[in-house]
Amino acid sequence: MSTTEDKTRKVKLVTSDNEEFEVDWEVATRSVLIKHMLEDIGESEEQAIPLPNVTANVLKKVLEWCEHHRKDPEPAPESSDDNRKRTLEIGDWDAKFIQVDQEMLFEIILAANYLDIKALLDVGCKTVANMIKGKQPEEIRKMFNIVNDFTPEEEAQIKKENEWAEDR
Amino acid sequence: MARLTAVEQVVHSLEAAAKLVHSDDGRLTFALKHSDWESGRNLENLTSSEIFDSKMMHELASNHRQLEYIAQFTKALSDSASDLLGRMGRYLEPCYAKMSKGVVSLPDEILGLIFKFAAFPEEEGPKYTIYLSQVSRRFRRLALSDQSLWSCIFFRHDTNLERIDRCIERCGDHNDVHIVLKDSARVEVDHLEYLMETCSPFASRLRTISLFGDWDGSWEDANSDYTLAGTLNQLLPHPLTLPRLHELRLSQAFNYDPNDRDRRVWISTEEINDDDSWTAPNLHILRCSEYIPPLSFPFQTITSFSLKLTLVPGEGISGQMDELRGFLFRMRNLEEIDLDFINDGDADKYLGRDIGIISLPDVTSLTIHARNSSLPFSSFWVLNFFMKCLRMPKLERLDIHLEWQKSDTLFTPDTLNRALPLFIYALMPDPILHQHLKQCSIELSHSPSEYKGVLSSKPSELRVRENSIELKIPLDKIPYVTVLEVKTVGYVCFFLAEKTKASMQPYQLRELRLSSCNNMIEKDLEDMARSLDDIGASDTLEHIVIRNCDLLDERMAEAVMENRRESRIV
Repeated sequence: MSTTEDKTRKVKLVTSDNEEFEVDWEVATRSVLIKHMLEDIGESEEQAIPLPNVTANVLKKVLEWCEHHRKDPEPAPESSDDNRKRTLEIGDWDAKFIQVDQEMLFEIILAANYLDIKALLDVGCKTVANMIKGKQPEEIRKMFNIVNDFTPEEEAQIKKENEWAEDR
Repeated sequence: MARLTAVEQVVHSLEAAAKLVHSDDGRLTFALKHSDWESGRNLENLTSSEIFDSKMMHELASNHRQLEYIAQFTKALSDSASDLLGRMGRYLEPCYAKMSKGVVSLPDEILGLIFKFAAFPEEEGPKYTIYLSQVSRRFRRLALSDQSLWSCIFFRHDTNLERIDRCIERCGDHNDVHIVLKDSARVEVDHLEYLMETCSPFASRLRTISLFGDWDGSWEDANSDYTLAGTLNQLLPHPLTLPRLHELRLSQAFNYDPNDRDRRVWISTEEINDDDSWTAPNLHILRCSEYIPPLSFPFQTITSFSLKLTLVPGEGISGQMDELRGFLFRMRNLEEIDLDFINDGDADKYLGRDIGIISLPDVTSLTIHARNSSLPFSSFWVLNFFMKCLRMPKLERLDIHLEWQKSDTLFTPDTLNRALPLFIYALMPDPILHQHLKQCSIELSHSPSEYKGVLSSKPSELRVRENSIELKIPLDKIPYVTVLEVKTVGYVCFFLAEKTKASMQPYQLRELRLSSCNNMIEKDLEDMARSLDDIGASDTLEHIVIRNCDLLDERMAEAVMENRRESRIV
């Protein structure tokens, strides 16, 4: 539960490429990782939070998301994976936000995972899931530049399995 | 370009002179000796008598200068090429790094989460998971290790039985299992017998059962049961103990008039022969789509009911409303109801019949979406009558979403503004009988693409038009609500629907949330606050929260609240 004092408080974040960002406490604490780090360092406003796994251009994008969702209710801790996977729908704003190139998309996913922002992680994962959903294996390989590392024997076995997949 | 071509020519000539060799391992070697130069050969062949020859000395000095020039020039060329190589490296390296990252750079747990999303929807069974498992070894390992991806048993008339066995094998011994049955005229009784036999060993692990019914034109065959009640009548006689069964989904495809394939018809469901053969004490959620269960629906443990229903014109709407009222009347333990009505034509102008009160003693949350609705210029609107029947004394939360139909967007904003309050009014329950109603959300929208199509207007014109659409909220219908959330295309104001009765109400509105009100400006915010003052409902208001509004921010909301506080002090 945030206090009025928290709402006016600023937080400094330093990225892996040494860029410093000053953001509202409410925005920064969309990240559970940052929230816990702030709890650990106490009230010290001057101390910057190092984020060695996030570059400035990715953090900028992540903070854009956090700013937009600053007022969102915190996700219920008990929300299970079972509930999370129920829908592939993405809100209008989030869908526009995540229209980035593939490299940035994966960097946002990795950053959301590292910073522990579940809702953003879901948006990223749903976007990738929408890209691969229903696609044949070869199409998925092509889309993401994935090497087919099956042996010819395995490939033959898989083709057999594919017949099984095609019918109902 | 000309310079580049000249440089290339020089490079080619040097290549020829240097006897460029491509070795087997792909490396390049050069064999350029001093004797390959004419001046080098001359120097080698110089006789002692020629050393002091003035002509020769002149030639050697000239060659020396030329070689100095070539050495300087090639050094410059080499430096330039090295610099260019460096620049290219700096540009390409991050690109290579990113290309090598991509989806494969994601850790297993994230890729696993993506697989869970990609396996959706379950109507496809494990088909998408099978595709994922065939991409690469890592994908296969991940897909096979997540047993929940294989936990959906899909069955229809031509299902490969081997697939069911493999899914059961892959989903492990302890995970929840989900059954999806797509019933149709082609599914024989034998098929369902087989399915139930297959399910018996893991019945205790069944978490959800989804039944999809699509009988196409077969419903005309009066001798057979072609609704999902018929399917249940085939399944229920097989005794099963289902301690984990939590959710039942019943979805039925539309039925059409055989003489007019564009006209939907509503087929009333047959009764279910309740012989209590399924024991499902934890079955709490029922989700229905285009299907309303009959009065004889046996699972009284249901507490959460959602229905998506297209309102069918003519006789259809009459049957639909009667059946829905009957079903709700019978389900005494409901706590949450979510109704999604999609209007077809003028179905929602149905007057309805008075069948008395539907008492829902435990309902705490009601959500109603009215999509593609016609404008209620009079009280002849089906949901008006429907809502009047409902009694929910424990109702705490009400969510209303209204989306009017495209043809009605032709009306002027003034006309819309006269009709829209009737929508809101009709969907709000009697406040005297619903005093626990503390949270309410109201959303007003239209389909943007349709709107543009009808008006042939540019977005800015559309925005001007939307801007003048007024969402008038009768606060005396929700006097006990403390938190109100509003989302609308235009602006918001409050009024009293029944002034004489309303003056008796103690308004309790404390927090007003404006969400995605993208056409509201600061002045609209002030006017909205003034409308609350005008009806004497501003004393309790503590916060105006702005969420995702294009032209509003929190500073404006705070300024409005501050002005109100100051004016009260004055």
